[in-house]
Amino acid sequence: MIAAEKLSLTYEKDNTRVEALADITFNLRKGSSLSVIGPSGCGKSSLLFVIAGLIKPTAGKIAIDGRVPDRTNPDTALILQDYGLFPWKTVYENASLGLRVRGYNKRAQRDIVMPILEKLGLAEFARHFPTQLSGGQKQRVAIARSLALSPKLLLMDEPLSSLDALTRENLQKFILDIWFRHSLTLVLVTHNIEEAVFLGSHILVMSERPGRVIDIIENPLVGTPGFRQSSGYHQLCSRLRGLLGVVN
Amino acid sequence: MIQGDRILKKSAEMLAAVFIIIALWHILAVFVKNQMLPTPWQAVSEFFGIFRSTLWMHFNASTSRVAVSLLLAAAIGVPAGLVTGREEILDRFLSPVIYLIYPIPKIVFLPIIFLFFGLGDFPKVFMISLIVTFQILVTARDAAKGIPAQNVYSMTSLGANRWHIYYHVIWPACLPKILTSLRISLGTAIAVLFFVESFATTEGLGYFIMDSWSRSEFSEMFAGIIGMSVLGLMLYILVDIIETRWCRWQNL
Ligand SMILES: Nc1ncnc2c1ncn2[C@@H]1O[C@H](COP(=O)(O)OP(=O)(O)OP(=O)(O)O)[C@@H](O)[C@H]1O
Ligand SMILES: [Mg+2]
Repeated sequence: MIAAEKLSLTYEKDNTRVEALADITFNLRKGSSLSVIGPSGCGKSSLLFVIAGLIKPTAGKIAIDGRVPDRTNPDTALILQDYGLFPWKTVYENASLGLRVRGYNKRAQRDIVMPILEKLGLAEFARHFPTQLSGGQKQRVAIARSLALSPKLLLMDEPLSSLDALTRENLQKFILDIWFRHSLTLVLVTHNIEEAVFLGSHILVMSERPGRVIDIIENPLVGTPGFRQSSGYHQLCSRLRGLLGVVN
Repeated sequence: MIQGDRILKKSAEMLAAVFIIIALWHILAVFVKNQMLPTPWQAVSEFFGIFRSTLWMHFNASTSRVAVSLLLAAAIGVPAGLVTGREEILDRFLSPVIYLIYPIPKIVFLPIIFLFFGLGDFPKVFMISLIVTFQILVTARDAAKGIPAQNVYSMTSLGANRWHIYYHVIWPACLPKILTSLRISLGTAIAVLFFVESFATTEGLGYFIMDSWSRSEFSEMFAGIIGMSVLGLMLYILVDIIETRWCRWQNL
């Protein structure tokens, strides 16, 4: 699904150069989920933008299903770090925006969006504005907006980082559930070790800026019942702590 | 429900403000005891006394001049400002031009404008628009510039084109600031209106006030001043109505 080869990215603006990514190589098969973890500012969001086709890499190659990423590709959906909801649009308007810009008529928008809102427990908030929602609800709206486009590849940038522990665990299960049910390919950026292990069938560990690949770890047990309590889960977490230089 | 409460509260505040102004005015008038400063009672009864016979004609003329000027200024200033704020190439070219022209007191061009466009309504409207357009344009440009890149990314990743971005992101995000600039411009517009109406016309509140003054009809003059403040108030309320309807998300 995703093939990245020696990706490098350098931001250049007003004579200052920021090297964000260096030599990133990885492959991700269809239906897998990739957790991307690394220190703050190492280029995780930038990597996601490259995959989404919003930024072109300075060097290297990337292909999604054999094609260069294109931001207009409806098969790819991106959820930004701060949800990317528009405060001037209601929950319903936010959730249907992707369909609207793709030219679906009102009726079709409604038929697609309402069931999704219902399933995500947001139907009664359809006419609310984002500022009237909790963090967890906002995140679900962002997910609803992406699902409305029925993407094959879902990219999420720290989707749960500003949520409380309880909401966070619930939404983690929720994301797993969506991943299975919609048979998505998932790329999820996080700075939380437990989350990376809980959600990623593969875990890409990045170095300090400029972000390089330290390791890609396979995590075949992801999504199995009781995984969070298993010893495999805890071992993997400690291994990541080691790789990221976190002292126990 | 909540909307109704807010309107009620606003009206109450407005009434209180009017009351305080009238009270202060009255105290001052009694204290000064000069025919140049009539009491509020005299001025208000004059206002209603002459409104239907003479004043409304001037009121109408002024209202349409200001309204048309503001509409024209917004119709030019808002799109121009938003686009300049978003398109870097345009900004690099236009901003220096704007900064050169913006600080010039454009009122000095009034004689030239009268020369070119004659003495009718158009040169007056043109003068007011010219001044106000810059205020609106600069505000709109800065508001558009300040929109976080995240917002635009979020929209592009949904497959939006340039037009979608302007329509769904830039315009709604800037609207509150645009309305604020409209409120500020309103004050400017009325001040300029007064000035341009004191030349070469026999219609408009500016003319009416200056004429009453020259005839030492001070109650009439104050009736004209009340007319101006009613005109301003009406337009402010209009902007407020637009804001409550189009920017509902702002005050939740
Ligand atoms: N548009 C830009 N122009 C210039 N530099 C940028 C730009 N976007 C990001 N950077 C820089 O690139 C580096 C990587 O940024 P990025 O946002 O990808 O990191 P991140 O890993 O997502 O960080 P965080 O964990 O804080 O979200 C940072 O040093 C950042 O300052
Ligand atoms: Mg980031």
